[in-house]
Amino acid sequence: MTTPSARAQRRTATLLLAPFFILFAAVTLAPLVYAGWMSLFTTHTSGLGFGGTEEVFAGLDNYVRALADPAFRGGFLTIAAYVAIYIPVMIGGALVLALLLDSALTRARTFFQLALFLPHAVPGLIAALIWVYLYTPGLSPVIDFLGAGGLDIDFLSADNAVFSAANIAVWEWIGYNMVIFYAALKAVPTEALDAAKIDGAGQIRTALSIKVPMIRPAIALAVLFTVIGSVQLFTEPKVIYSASSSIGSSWTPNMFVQTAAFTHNDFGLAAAASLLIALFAALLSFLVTRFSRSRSKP
Amino acid sequence: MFRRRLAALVCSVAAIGLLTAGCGDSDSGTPTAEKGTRKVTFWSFVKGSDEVAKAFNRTHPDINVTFEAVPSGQEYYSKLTNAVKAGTAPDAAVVEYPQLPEFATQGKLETLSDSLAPLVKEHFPQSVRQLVELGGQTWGVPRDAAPLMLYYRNDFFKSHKISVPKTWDAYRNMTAQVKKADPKARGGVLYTDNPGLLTALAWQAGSQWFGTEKDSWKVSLDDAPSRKVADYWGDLAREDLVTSVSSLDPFWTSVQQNRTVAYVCASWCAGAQQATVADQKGKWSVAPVPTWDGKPASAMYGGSSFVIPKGAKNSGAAEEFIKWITTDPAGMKAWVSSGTSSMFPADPKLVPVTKAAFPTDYFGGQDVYAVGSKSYAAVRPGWTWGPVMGTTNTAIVDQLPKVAQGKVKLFDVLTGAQQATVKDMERRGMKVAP
Repeated sequence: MTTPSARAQRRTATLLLAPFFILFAAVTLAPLVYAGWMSLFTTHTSGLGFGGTEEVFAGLDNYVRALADPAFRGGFLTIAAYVAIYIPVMIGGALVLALLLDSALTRARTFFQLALFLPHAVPGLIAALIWVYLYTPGLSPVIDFLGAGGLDIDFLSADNAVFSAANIAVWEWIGYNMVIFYAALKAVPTEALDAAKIDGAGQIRTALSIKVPMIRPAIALAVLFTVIGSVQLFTEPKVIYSASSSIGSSWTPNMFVQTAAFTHNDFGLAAAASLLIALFAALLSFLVTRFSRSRSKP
Repeated sequence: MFRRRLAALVCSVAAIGLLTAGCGDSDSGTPTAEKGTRKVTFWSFVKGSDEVAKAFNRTHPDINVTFEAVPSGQEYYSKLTNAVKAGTAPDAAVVEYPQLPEFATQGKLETLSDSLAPLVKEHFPQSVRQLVELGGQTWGVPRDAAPLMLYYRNDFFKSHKISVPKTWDAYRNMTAQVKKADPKARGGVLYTDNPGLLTALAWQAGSQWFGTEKDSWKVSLDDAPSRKVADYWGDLAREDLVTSVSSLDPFWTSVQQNRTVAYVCASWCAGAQQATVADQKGKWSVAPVPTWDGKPASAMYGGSSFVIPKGAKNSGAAEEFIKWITTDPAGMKAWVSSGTSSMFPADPKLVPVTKAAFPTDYFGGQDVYAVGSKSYAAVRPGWTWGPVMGTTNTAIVDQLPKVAQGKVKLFDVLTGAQQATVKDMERRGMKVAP
């Protein structure tokens, strides 16, 4: 039995939620369905090809082709190497910075908080320009400086690209995650910290045994988002690719998709590959959540 | 927990959605009834395009051209592709010669066979006409040609008593002399990110990467002239006689820092060089591009044509506009009115127009256009670009950086590209002769 006020409440709720669901359907579900549809077709022409094109149903052929392509599979290996470098450095770094900010050691907290967050506020395009400049031999003062010290490094070579990409990403995201961790640290109850102090725990001991365990959910969340973000790795390698083609056009799965769609005009393959990436990201996020939940149980 | 997971999923698919959105397939053209509104939208990344649109509007009160600046390179071709698919294509657009066949075979261009084909036949020499006439139809109108030349630092060559090479054998000696004279300097480049120059050198040597016979394509990136060129340049790169750098900033930086004192480039490099390395004014000269047997032979590195994309709303007016900007002296004058472009008109009769606009003091008063004209006349006819140039070029570019490191032979890069190209053409359903 619903009272009039309950019905009115539900109506209001529907009204307030509607914009979200409309947008969600328009910008997420619709493209997803469309990509799924497109992944089943391939563009066909005949003879010399000047007589026009037609869309031909290809079934799962595009998925098979994506999975069989060494370039596509290789992209996931790139991601694996990247994650192995990036996640420990970025999460560890953000955690250390947050703990330092939180400790009594630091004066001028707001200043540091802002300064560390600043790179994240820089638009991607500007960031790209900065890093292209710093990575390009002949332009970069960093390379000149290292070269003067007898150290010749090619940041853009195929071997170093994974470090260079991780470096850009760390620069962009460390401050962001630091702010999240810092906010979580602020929520640690003072009684717990006081108790630790009375028990004779020093700053480091308190940080490791009290603070870090208490903000574990925040860390788990950051790791989850970072892992998913890494699967979509695109901007940073694109910056490197624009300055030097040494890493190739299909270095990460998302670059593979872009190349397939816009360089090879193979939209079916691109759609199939992007859905496979989405599937992989979903699977990965499921595993990471599972893992971090079971770990955080007392 | 569900909400969090959902959010994560949304994040991961939203990006993909963005990427694939607008990749739809609505090749439906607009009804011809709309023709006659006399409004032309015009997409171009070529220098001086805004001036061209303005000049045209001044002299043609019945047609109104709206110029829209677009990025150059791959980004532009993606944009144009998407616009055609979405039905928002411009009425006139620039397409470089290498990309033209791919656009035509993807069904993204209006054929000009019934309209501008006679104009193309009348105005342009065969070597450039072949780039826009494909499969018996005309797909674009050439704007500029890009004949090869040799650019060199006159002061450096003089002070070290190095003579300007006329053959590729002499060119190799020159690079060795340059390196000996100044261990930091090199007498040439092999670009690591751009197959265009390598392709032009293969073309110059007599290679024909693509050809058509009846209704099938012939693909031969690995023919004998290509092998000769690839072995030659691969050796130069491996022996560190030429630099291996990206064709963008790193290349121009090397010129600026006196590390590149000679290089092969097309006519347009004269303007680019003058604008980018202004402080080396008077130090540079141009010479004919070296050849294998000492007899004049040339090819093109770059160059652009104008097309009418499928779905253009006003192709009639667009035709008039394209005709004016490619073959009318007034149109050609508008392109070079800024005085900074050294573009070489594809219509040889218009060379005096562009020549008059380009200041020659940067090249010590040398007649750059005379060298260009000779080179243009010597461009080997018979060259055709392939229908999957995107695939061909990526296959080359992805391997090029490894050549200088000695990991891959340049000729193997070409054979790899040959396989990738044939495979992609067959996938699209084209006929490829064995």
